[in-house]
Amino acid sequence: MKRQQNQLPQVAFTILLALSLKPRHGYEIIKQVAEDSQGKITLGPGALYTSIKQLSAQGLIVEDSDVQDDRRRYYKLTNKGLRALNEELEYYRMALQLAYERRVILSEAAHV
Amino acid sequence: MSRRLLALYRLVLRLYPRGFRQQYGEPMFQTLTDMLDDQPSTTARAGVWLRVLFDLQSTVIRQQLQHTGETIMRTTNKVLIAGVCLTVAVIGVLLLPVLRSIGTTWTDFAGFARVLGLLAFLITAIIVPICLAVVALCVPQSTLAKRFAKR
Repeated sequence: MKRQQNQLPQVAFTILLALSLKPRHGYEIIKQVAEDSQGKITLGPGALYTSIKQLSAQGLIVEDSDVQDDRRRYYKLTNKGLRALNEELEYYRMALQLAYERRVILSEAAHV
Repeated sequence: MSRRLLALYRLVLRLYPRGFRQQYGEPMFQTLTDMLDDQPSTTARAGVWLRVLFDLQSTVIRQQLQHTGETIMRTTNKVLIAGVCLTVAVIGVLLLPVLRSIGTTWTDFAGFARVLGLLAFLITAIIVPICLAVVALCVPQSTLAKRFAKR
């Protein structure tokens, strides 16, 4: 299984995943990340914008100027960000498949 | 109470490096306001403040360290870094005869410890500074700054 060297940190991955549906502002991202991770990842404003700074510097997300909101800043995925997210998801899909094949994870059918 | 805490939060945001604060200070403040507005009870709001407290202490340190590293990489002349490293290495080489005069034998534990000490000295005072000097001279400064910024 080939893995990209530019591996996304977990928080960065969940932020990209949160932005994959639509542009979101800070608190929307925090809520979506918490929901997607089933409460396992709870970000504060500092951690969120530290990751946003890194993701912006890597060209994976940009500010969305189309959204009309004077108080909040919205972010959206770039094409590069979408590609990075897809590569990461593909890796997880292969890892999951491998885990099932090796019976590391038992399928629901096996429990019955 | 909450308004006072928010004012305090705005003040604490000054602990972040200026560049980060100018770019993200206002969105961070707005995000916190949104978080607090969305909480149904005082207890839940207290939970948010607790989370923000932990968030601040970890991210302020991280941003400050990153900022310091970037500043050093951007402003310090790489020739100067290489020069300092090579000077340390030369001093290390000059000190070698002094260390050798202490004597090294494998016959007892003290002798073995001296050999280990000499090896440690060779690595830290000569080999590492030479390697750092080579890196500083060979790698473009912009690359070093970029690598540091990615962390």
